[in-house]
Amino acid sequence: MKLTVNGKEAEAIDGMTVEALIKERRLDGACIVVEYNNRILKRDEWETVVLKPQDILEIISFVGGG
Amino acid sequence: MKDQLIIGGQSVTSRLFLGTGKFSSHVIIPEVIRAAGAQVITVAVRRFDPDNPRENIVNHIPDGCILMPNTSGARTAEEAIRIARLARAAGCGNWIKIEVISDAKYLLPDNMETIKATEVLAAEGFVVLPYMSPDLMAAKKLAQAGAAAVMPLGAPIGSNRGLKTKELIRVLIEEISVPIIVDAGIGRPSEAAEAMEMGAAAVLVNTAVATAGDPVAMAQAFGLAVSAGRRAYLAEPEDRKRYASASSPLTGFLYGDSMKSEG
Repeated sequence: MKLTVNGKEAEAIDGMTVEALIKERRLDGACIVVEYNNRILKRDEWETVVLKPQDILEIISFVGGG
Repeated sequence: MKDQLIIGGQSVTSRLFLGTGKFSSHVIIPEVIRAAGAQVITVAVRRFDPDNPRENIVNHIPDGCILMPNTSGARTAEEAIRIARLARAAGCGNWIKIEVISDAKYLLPDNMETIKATEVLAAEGFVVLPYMSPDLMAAKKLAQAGAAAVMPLGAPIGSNRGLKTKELIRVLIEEISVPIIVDAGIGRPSEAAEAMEMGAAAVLVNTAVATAGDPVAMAQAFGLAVSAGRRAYLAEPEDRKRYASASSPLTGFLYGDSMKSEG
């Protein structure tokens, strides 16, 4: 199914959870935040939120900065 | 009595805050932080880029450090507030450096939007450290709004120009009750020492360390400079004088009173 991840069109398997998507993209989970359809998810929601077509995901992490 | 820096109710072990931007590689960061003796470390908040995955910078920041995400990228209070809430949701602390900038040339912050963001975020329980252009009334409003410290710039970000705003910083140090942390523009350890001698509570340095030929050595130099400047401040240096004042006695000269002033 198609959804938007970080502003770009992306593909995901039907019924995938947020947790599964994060794992599939091999994201290092330390200090990562997921915004799901404009709502910040709690960490324990990653396993329970099931992705649907047209969902909008923002995956955010810390990077170098001053 | 021990000289302690307390921010947001927390004791901070180093008056040198360090940024993590512009380093040629993340691998060097732990050694830089150790050399500097720094505890508060700033990071930025960005979309993860799956086409360009980098190793998570948090893995390179030693335990015991206090992470201070910044709201860089925000052009308005609303954007800064969203970034701050995202940063806190990462579960790695509740400190936030408010950085609201819509000037691309000088990267000078928008004090008014910064005040608005501070009011909202302080009320939500963040430990707020706003980056600002040194203006006394703006600093008063930030402190009243609940900022844990106020961070005036010395010169534009990344310019290495030193304490161009020093007279205004001096006023803030004198008049504002929360810690004043000079952030941006410090290009040399001597400038960090000067800020500390003036009575700044801390300094934040990024470019001057990250872009040095030897960032580890420069980090160590900054650590020593901040420590020296703070000790000098606590030792209460004498005021500067307009005229000379002899250091050796004015009596018992071997060659008579040759230096006696006329009239």
